[in-house]
Amino acid sequence: MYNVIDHLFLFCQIQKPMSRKKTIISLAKNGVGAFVFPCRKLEFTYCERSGSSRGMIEYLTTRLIPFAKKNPQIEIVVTPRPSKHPFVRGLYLNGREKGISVRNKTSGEIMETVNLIRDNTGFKNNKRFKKPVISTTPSVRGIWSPFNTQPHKI
Amino acid sequence: MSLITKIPTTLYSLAARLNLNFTNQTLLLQAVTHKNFHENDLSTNEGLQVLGNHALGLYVTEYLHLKYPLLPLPCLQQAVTAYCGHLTLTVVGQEVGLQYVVRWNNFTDEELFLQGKEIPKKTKSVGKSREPAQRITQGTAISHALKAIVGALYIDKGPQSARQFIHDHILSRDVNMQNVIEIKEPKRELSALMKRLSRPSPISRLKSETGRLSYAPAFVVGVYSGTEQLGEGFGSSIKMAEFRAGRNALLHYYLKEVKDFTLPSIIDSQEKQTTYIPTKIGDTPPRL
Repeated sequence: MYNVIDHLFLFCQIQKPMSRKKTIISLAKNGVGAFVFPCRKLEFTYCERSGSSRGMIEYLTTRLIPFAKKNPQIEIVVTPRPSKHPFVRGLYLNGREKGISVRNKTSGEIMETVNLIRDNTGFKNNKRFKKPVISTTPSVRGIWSPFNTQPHKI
Repeated sequence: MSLITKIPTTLYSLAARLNLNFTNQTLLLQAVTHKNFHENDLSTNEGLQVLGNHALGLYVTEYLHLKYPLLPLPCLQQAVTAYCGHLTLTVVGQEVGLQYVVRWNNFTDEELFLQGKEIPKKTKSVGKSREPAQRITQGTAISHALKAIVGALYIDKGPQSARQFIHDHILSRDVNMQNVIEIKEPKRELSALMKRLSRPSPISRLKSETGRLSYAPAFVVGVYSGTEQLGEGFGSSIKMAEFRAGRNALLHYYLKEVKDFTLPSIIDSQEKQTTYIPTKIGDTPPRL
C-alpha cells in the first residue's frame, strides 16, 4: 500500500519523531542521610513608634540574637516598617512562605510564634489529606493480588 | 584595585544548613561563583567543579557497584546518572536553597554587548580560541555549584569529608532501580544469562489461568530453570504474562542487593588496610 509518509521517509531526509528518553531523578528523603532544615529565612518587620510593636521591639532587643545564634541555618532579616503592625514571616525551602502578625503580643508570645514558624516545614496545613501515608517504599508484605492466593477449601 | 567582596548572610546560613565548616568562608563563596560571573575578583568554581564531579562519580559508583554487584554496566551508568547527574544535582541544589546563593550571569556576551554593558575580560584558556558564549541557566549554575562544594570539601577537609557529604545528601536519596533497567527481549536475555551461568535453559509454564474466553482473562506464567522458579508474571494474554515473568526473573537477578559491605574508600590508615576484607566481585554479564 503506497503511503505518502513512507514515500517522504524513503526519498526525503525527514527524521521520524523520536520518543524522548526519560531522565531518572532521585527523590529526596530528608533525614535519612542528613537533615536539611526546611526554614531558610525569617523576616521581622516592626514600627519604631506604634504601640502594637512594643512587644516586638522588646523581643528584637533581648531574645532575637540568642535565637539567631542557636539557629545559624536560618537567615534573619529585620526591617523597620513605619506605621504598620509588626509581622514575622518565614520562608521555606519548598518555595512557600508563612507569615503571622504579632501585633499587640508580648515578647514571650512572639518567641512562641517565631518557634512555631521555625519548626514548620512550609507545606500547606491541609486538614483534609488525600493520602494518609506518603512513602517511597511499597508495603512490606506486598499488595494483595488474586493471582497468588489459594482458593478457599473446606 | 581589588574589591573586598562581602560574604552574604545567605551563604553563612547555607553553610550551617549543609554542615560545612570550611577553614575559609571565601572558599565557599568561590565554590558558588560560576565562571561567567563578571563582577568579582575572586577565582571561580571551574576547577572545584571538575574535581567534585570526579569525586561524585567515584563515590557513587563505588557504593552502587558494591550494593548491586550483578547490575549490568549500562544500567549501573544509568543509576549513577540518576544519583549524581546534572538534572538530579539541580533538583538537590534547589531543595537545599542554592538558587538564592549562586552567582552567575544570565546573559550571553552578545546580549551584554547589545544592552551596552561591559563584556567581561576572559582569561585565555591554553590552546583554545575564544568560543562563542553560551547561555548558562540557573539549573546549570546550581549543579556546578553543588559539584564545586564537593570539590571544595575534598580539598579543604579531605576525601573522607567529601564522601560523607555525598552519602548524606546524595546517596541517601531514593531511586527506583527497576526504572534503571530497560528490558526489551526478556526471553532472549534470560536464556543467554542461564547459558552463561551454566544452568538449565529457561522454560515458561502456565501456572494458572482464568477467564480465557471472557473479556478479562488472567494468566499466571512462571519461568523455570529446571525445577527452580526464576520469576513469575501475570497478564491478560499468555504472551504478556510470559514477558512479565521473564522480566521479573531478570530483575530479580540483576537487582540482587548486598546489605553489608565495606567501602574500599574507608581505608585511610595502615591498620584498616590490614583488616580490610574485600567484597566478592560480582559477575556483570554483557547485555545483548
